[in-house]
Amino acid sequence: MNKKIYKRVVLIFILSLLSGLLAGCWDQLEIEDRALVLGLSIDSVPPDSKTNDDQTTHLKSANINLPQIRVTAQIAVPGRVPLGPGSGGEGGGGNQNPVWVVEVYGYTLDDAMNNLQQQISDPRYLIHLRVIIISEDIARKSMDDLNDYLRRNPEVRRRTWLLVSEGEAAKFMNINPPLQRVPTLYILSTMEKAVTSGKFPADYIGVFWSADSKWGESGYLPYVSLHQEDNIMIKGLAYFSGGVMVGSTIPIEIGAYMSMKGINPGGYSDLFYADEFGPVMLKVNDRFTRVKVQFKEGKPHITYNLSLEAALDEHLRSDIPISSSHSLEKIEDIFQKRVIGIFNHLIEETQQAHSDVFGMGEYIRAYAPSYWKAHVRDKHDWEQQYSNLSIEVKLKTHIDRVGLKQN
Amino acid sequence: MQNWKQKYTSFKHKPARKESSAQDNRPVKPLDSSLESNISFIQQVFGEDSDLIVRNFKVYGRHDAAIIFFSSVVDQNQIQNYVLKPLMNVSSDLSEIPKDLKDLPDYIWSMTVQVTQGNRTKDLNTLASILLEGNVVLIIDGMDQALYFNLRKIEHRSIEQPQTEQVIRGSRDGFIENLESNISLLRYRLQTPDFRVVTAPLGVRTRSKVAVCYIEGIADPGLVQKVMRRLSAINVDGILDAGYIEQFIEDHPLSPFPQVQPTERPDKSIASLLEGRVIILVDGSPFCLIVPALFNQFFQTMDDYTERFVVGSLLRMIRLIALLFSLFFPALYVSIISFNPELLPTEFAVAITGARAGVPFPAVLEVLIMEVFMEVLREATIRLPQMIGGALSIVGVLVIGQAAVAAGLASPTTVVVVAITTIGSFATPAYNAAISSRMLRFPLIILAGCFGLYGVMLGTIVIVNHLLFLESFGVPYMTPFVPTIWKDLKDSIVRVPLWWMRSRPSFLNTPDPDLLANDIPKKHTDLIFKEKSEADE
Amino acid sequence: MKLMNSNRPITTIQVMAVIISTIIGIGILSIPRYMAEAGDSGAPLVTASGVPVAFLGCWFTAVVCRKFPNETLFVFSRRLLGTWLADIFSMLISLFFAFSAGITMRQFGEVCVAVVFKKTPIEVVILLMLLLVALSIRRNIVKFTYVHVFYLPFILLSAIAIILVAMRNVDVLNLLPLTGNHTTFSSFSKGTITSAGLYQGTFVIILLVPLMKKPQQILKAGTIALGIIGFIYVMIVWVTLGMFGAQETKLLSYPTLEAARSISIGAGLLERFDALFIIIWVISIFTTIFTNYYLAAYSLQQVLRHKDHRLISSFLLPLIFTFSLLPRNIFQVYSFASITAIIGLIFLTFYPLLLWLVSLIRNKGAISHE
Repeated sequence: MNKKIYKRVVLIFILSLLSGLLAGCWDQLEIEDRALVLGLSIDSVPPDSKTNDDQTTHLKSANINLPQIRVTAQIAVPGRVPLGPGSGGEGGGGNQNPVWVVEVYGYTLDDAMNNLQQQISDPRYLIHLRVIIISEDIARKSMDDLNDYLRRNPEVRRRTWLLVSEGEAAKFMNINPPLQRVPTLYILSTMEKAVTSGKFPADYIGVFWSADSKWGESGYLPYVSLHQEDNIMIKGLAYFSGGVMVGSTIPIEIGAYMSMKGINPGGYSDLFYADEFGPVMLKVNDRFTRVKVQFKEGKPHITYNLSLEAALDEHLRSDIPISSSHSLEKIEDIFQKRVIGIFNHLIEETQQAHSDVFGMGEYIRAYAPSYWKAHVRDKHDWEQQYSNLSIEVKLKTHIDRVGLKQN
Repeated sequence: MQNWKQKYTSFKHKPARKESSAQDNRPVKPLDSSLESNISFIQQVFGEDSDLIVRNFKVYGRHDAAIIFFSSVVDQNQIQNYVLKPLMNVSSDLSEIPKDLKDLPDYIWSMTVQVTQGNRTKDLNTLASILLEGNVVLIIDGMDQALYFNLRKIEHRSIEQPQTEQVIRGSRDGFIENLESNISLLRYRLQTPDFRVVTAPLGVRTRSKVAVCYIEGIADPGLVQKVMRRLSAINVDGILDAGYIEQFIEDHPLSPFPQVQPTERPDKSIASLLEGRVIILVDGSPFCLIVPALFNQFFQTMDDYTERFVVGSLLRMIRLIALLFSLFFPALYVSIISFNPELLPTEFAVAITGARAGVPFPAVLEVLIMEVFMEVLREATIRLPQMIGGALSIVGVLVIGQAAVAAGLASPTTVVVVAITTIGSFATPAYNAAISSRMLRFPLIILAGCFGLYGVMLGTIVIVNHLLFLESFGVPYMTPFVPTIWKDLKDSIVRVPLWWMRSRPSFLNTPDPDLLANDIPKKHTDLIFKEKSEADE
Repeated sequence: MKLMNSNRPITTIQVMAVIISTIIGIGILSIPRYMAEAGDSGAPLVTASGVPVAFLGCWFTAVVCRKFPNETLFVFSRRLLGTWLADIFSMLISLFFAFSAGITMRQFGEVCVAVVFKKTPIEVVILLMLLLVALSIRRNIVKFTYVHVFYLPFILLSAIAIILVAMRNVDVLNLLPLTGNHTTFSSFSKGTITSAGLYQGTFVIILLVPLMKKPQQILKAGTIALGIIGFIYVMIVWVTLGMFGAQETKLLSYPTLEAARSISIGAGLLERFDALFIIIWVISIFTTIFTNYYLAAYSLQQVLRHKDHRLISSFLLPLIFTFSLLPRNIFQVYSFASITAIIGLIFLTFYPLLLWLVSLIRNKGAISHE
């Protein structure tokens, strides 16, 4: 009798628990019912322009004294991006826009996202957010809000690209490149291919955040601009100091930066005038760097020993032959002398801007911890001290090959 | 012969039988001295069965006698030539015929009737079952014993390739319904005197002959005992197929996973006998049961052994992958689409939304509907004759799937997933294991539909735990994976070369563990070198 | 020979598997953060330093169990300390493991709700897992080890796979200087204690020793198991720290998860590693809770002198569920967890020590006659 009652009680208990399952699959949401935000662009709004306050997250009288930002989101439209080759000109594939671009205003990023949700029907999901573009304005003013929101949100992955655009960022959301159906994916593949072909380091938002947190390094982001309406050009590095952008470089300086960090594969070529041989182009294929921290008179001195492997790409004056290893060595010498200028220029620029993108502080922190402990209290300290750091770059180049032409 | 109307009327008015003939423990009833009363007793037992034949004649021209038999189960030709003919021989040569009725049975048995099997009985009550087993009963007027001879002949089909287990390279004979032929298939492959066949009837009314076979000295006596004990506990009206026995002797009949392996192939049975297992054959069923059966047998076939070891190992791995696929793929699909689309690469995710836009159901319902439809299709094709069956399955999958996609009822990705799953489940060689994975797919899909990847993981843990706790005749089901027996892992997911497999599976507790003699070298190349060096000498 | 083995079927390797799969659980997600807070770039060192401290507890337990190879701790503690005292301690053990199971479930639920599900109530997530574990507990100890032995290769191989793939992204600079820039002795020792608090699962050997084939090897098994786990934890901290750097690791709530999400092998299907991570994560939590719950139920059964632990496990379910719902917000969860870990470390180190000392004093205990 006892066993029977016990069994019944347990059964009722378990059944009542299981009925909770019937209440629903709480998190179930079909993939086509989600609004997948693929790309975001964030611009600042000039203070005098009249924009409506949506009041989605606050009352008008709440007196939020923050500048407004304009967020443009690119949302994938289900059904318009087929896998595989679309069947001919079905539905005039080019005419139908596979993404939907929505513009909202808000005081903070989260405020703007809530306003966005207020306007679109499907719940927005940032799980496939691949590209975020911010205008130079915002980058120079304040990035804290952005960083905080994006870090807390579990949907945002650290492999997202954060780009700084020269000029208005929203324009990037409207490009219509012929090589890809979805514009954000085009931007994404531009950056990814840049990484694989050696044109840019793999500077995802996660890497940026790590660098930003470190005391001995400053973060940097890709600096892009729009050419001819549809082409994205990587214009350089936007380097940061104290959490805000303070300047940008030119493209060849990206190559210099990558050399100093020893990032492979190499992808930059250098055009220079090689005295007797005429103008010559060398393409750098491999980079190797060794960094040494020394102390001279109690002050740190960093030496970079770079060794590059290059190939001869172009030699304009074919009447002057380059056909012996002796001539190659001569070219190497000339190259080394000329190219040092680029490095030094870049270093000076960053030193003036108090932005240690190279991470030299990290080397000092790692190899000279006592000096670090004594002199550096926080990130700001180091950024100031960076400008007075003595740095030396020694370069060695080695030209392996000259291509398929003998002369 | 009466027509049916007359039979019907006489049936309606027959008094009900008080005693059922299905009782074994009746007292011994000795034969009456009068032939007529014995014959009428037997006829009473069988009512008006039209195949019970009573043939009266005179033995040696002197004594009244009768042979009784069931014409449907005996070979009448042999009765004529080897029983009636010699017994009816009236020749003056037969001076040694004993005059005393007491010695007559001995004389008939040793000098006259030229039949190989037979016996005698003094009990009338046993004659009923003796007759049913295909014996011809000889009763002589005045004799207190009845002689019976085994002249059983039943029509059966010829030996052909087993339908449910086809291999590329292996023998093509399979078991048939007749127990004798099955045992003969085993005997000619296993010509050792240690091969034991223990037969006994099972099933109160069907009294089917059940044979337990094992190799003495290799099979663990404890295991054989266990099998026999479980068989003896079966008390059912009828055993129609080996499957009935399987359900009675299993350790965990409620589990979806089979703990006994049925097979139609004699070579597989022999292989398992050599490992130390015990097999059970039933008269009337072409399936033989192998006990104990473990998880890793369900993706192994004879093909793995007859082919070379690289091929064999790869095939096994493919089958295992197919099994896992057919179990998990739809659930994973549902969980990724409905719950965790962040697990897909972005281009793929964006494109799948295109494939799914316009489908009115959530992914769970869609997958469930398609899966149920596939199951119905499979059941349907089993019953169709060969010619229509093949076409229907192809038509069913392609056309109906296409039509469903075009009508917007299903998305093409779902059709692909379901098709891959179905094909994967066909790759499992053991039919009953394939059924279990088919069944288990559905709870997993439902769990995936409620909780996504977490639900799939919970369901997987439930299934795996169940497998880990299962036992087959005292052997843990997942041996040799858990508990890990390194020696036996040689023949689980991979099959190592034959010259490395030196001992029988240790979980079977065989008294004789060595398969290969110790002087066979471990490396096959040594064998060849041995050959070469011997050739040189 | 076979007959004896069927009474003591657990091999040394199985014991190691049980210990390893029990301990690898909830800790791996946030341990890099605690270690980075304690030791900066010297976090791997801090992690490694926890191992010897944890080893003490394991040593005492192993030694005292080895002295009584035919009984579980609950039985011989009654002989050593007297029934009353031993029962109180066993009750405390049961309560502790129930609480530990509850807090672990809560932490697990928090991670799930933060990362995987957003709308599912955390109670459902916890309850489902608890039901699953409660159903699986109803078996004997031998089947208990089977579960651990089966899941261990998956957990280990996946952990190693993730570590290997993540190695590519490790920047050695993040790991220097070896002792960290701002470590003080107090922070280092705090980190050591935190690290040592993760290894409480070694207590499970009290259940296994009576059924081991060679109980003498229990110490060896425990040592090797601790070594392997310590290695894995150090590698995880090493890799996470190497990917992010100490300062960033201190900011992340679940650094290991972020690390798993950041790595990828090329584009295409292998792009997202966190699917693999979630799968392995659920399995490793399951094995941890499985052991904790089993210990709680078994010790309670010993105290109450009941026939077996199955009925008790059903009654423990609502208790553990309640424990898991006690903390009110995420920070309370962290504090509850660390307090539990410290209490467990102290209790589970000193109680076996006490038993051992008492056994030495009273000269009791068979010195391993086989």
